[in-house]
Amino acid sequence: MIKGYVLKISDKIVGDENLKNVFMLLENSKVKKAILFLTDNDALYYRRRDDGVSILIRLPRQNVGASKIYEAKLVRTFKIKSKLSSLDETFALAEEIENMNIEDFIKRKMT
Amino acid sequence: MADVSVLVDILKRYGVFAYAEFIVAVFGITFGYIITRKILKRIESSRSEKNVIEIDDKIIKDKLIRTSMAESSSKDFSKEQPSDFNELVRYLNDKYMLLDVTLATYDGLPIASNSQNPEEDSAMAPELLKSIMKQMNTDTAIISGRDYKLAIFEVSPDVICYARLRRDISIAEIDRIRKEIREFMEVRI
Repeated sequence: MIKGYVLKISDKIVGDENLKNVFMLLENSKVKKAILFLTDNDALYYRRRDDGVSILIRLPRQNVGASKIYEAKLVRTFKIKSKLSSLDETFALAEEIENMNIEDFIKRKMT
Repeated sequence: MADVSVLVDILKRYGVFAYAEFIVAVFGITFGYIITRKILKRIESSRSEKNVIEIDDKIIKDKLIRTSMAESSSKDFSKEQPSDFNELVRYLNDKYMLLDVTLATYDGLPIASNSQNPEEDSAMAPELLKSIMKQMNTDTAIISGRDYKLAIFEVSPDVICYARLRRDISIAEIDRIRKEIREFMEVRI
């Protein structure tokens, strides 16, 4: 559903090169939140969060409401990735998730 | 009239003419009663035939609905795992036999929809739900009109579901839909 994204955590920027120019434009402005409707039936969702994370997501216009949900997912995934400094930690986390039942998994995702 | 004059002649002959008018009146009332009763019976029987036909139609319609429900329930939805919101909307639409489903945010933005006017529906949904919450103090409502039925309910603090219905739906079913959307959002997304 997501057609592309750019994510900035502290000084690290990841994501689609094509969207980086637009992202930087919004980043340098004082805009905190924006939704841009493009003429090709897509939309751009931008948000500068209070925790220092900024995100730009491109997705179809008819799914633009899902951007907030995908924002949380992307930030969470990226934060987990940046936290996992070693391969051992990655395997430990994988093992922990494997042993979880669905309720524990949901609880962990919510935190 | 000829019968009546014959009857009067007979009565005259036997000297009971004094009672002739009375007897004619009694006969008249009796025949009138019999004829009226027969006519009414015919009308009644034709009505009951119509009722039988209408009842038959209802039974046939019920059977068709049950058959379609059985067909949809025979489809194994437990194996279907929607991977994104668009698939989720189609899945819910098929499983619960809805006309269309729109998931929207409280800002009035569409998350996913299979409606003909997704942007219109997702803009209307939060306003309608806010009004219902204010007036009725509930986050779930089924609205039924002459030509339409719709269900509107809060899935999570960010998400509203607005569904047009083709049949009556219970609150228990709405709770199941809500649960499925929540699980999808928590596990799949």
